[in-house]
Amino acid sequence: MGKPSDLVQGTLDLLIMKTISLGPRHGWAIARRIQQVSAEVLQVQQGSLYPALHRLEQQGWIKARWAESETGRQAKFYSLTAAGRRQLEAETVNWKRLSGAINVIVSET
Amino acid sequence: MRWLAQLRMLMEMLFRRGTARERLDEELRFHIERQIAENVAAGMDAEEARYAALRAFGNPGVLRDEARATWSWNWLESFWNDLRYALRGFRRTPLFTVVAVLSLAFGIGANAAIFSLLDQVLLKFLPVKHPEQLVLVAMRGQQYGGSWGADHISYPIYQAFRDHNQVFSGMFCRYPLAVTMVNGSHTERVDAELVSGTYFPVLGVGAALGRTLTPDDDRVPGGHPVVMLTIRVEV
Repeated sequence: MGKPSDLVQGTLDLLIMKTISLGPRHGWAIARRIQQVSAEVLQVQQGSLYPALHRLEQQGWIKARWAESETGRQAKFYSLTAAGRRQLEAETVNWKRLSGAINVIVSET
Repeated sequence: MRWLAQLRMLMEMLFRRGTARERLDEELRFHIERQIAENVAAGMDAEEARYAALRAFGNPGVLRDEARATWSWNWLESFWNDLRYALRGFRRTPLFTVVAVLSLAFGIGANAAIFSLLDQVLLKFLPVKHPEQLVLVAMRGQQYGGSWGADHISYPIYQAFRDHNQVFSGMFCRYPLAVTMVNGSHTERVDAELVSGTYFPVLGVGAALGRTLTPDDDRVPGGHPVVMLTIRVEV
């Protein structure tokens, strides 16, 4: 496995919002999912999710609820707000444009 | 309606901050313990699992503070903590605190006393209607004044002002002098004022007994003289 990639802060927000757009999840589950789906390429320092989650919650893009987790203990589940959903779409479009442009430059022979 | 969610967070961070702090700690604990459980399930022993989980997580204390830093009202919490720290410091050095408080008290007290005295004397003391609307009209220059005093205006000039003014709702003039009052065999020198007939109407002061001077009394110069007496009540 190669060296874990550093993530720019904005893209962490995007990953979090995309992950919970599929359903409410708590912080640990979000971390695991990002790792799994990216086939372990993205090794986020797990704890750095929490400042991001709290910031997104303060900004109103995501909302949280305490509920019983799969192990029986109480956990804080995050989900997208309506405004968050729209923001996710906008950010996704932005990201595709940006990464597309970088791809073009990098693929130039 | 993002602003609604934001408003909710604002209120929650203000009124349920303690709960929020506990819950953040609980949230981080939950995460680390889940990771430890997974490490153990993957075959590590307890201690190894714990180290690996913390390595993957990062520094919990630092991350907890970073998460808290994203909350609103941080400046308020910071200010409140500083205030409590200062108060604890005051309790530790009581002599200093007493001296500082007394100095401030004397300074503020003296200023407040002087101001309220001036306030009473200059602004509130005049027992007339709307004392704040009273204006003194003076004329300055070498041509004014006369044998009666340097800053006195003559009666014809006052009349001209009174009749042609477009600024004031009413005008009156006064001239202070001392007179002799004879009461039976008792003679007394008292302070008096010569006033125009508009004096009492403009000031909105009435007579307790009888009538006040009126503009009517001004019509005939030297006509029947009218005197008003003041009852001074000594408290």
